[in-house]
Amino acid sequence: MSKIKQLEKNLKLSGKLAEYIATNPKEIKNIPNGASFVIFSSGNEELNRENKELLKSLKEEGKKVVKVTENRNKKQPWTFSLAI
Amino acid sequence: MSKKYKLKKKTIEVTKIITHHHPLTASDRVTYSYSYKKDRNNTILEVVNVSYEVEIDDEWITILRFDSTHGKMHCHMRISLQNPEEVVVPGGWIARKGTPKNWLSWAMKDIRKKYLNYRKGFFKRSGIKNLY
Repeated sequence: MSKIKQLEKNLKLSGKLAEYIATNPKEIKNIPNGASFVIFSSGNEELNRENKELLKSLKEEGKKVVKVTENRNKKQPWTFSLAI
Repeated sequence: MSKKYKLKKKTIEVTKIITHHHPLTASDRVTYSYSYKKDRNNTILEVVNVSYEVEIDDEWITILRFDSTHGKMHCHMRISLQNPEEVVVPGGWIARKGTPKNWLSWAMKDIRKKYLNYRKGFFKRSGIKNLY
């Protein structure tokens, strides 16, 4: 996947996630300040592979990384887990 | 004679600023900060900043950022890599109405729609030939 394609897809998911956080800030009250959210799509394996690499490199840099997984569940569309 | 003093209950509003990064590729990310009231619902009070950043020579550079100081959404654009000064984008680009949640959505949508133009423009202004 080209960088532009990856960026476009991640931007789309980021927009969805940001809207969710804005509406449900309680959901991320335990997430540390300054954390980086790496998003995993529910149906795009290629993007997930790229983002797995991204997550790995961020962790190597010593950043606080949160893995955010898209769910098909409308009530709980995202799952947050601290990547250790 | 004893005086009775009534103590008034004061409600102190505690606000907190939170910053999050959304990495998009190894060299692109969206960062946003917002303040929220520490109440039962953690209500978002203000979108402090939404920015599109690129990594150049191991340094994250903000190409474009939105903030909502003075109750209005403003857009700031960095001139070039060599010149860190920012231009406040005028007129029609400023969203005047809405809630912090609307502003957050609006800024994210704008970045999503125009990021390539922002990137191209900044690289051109900075004299960088390769987009990636």
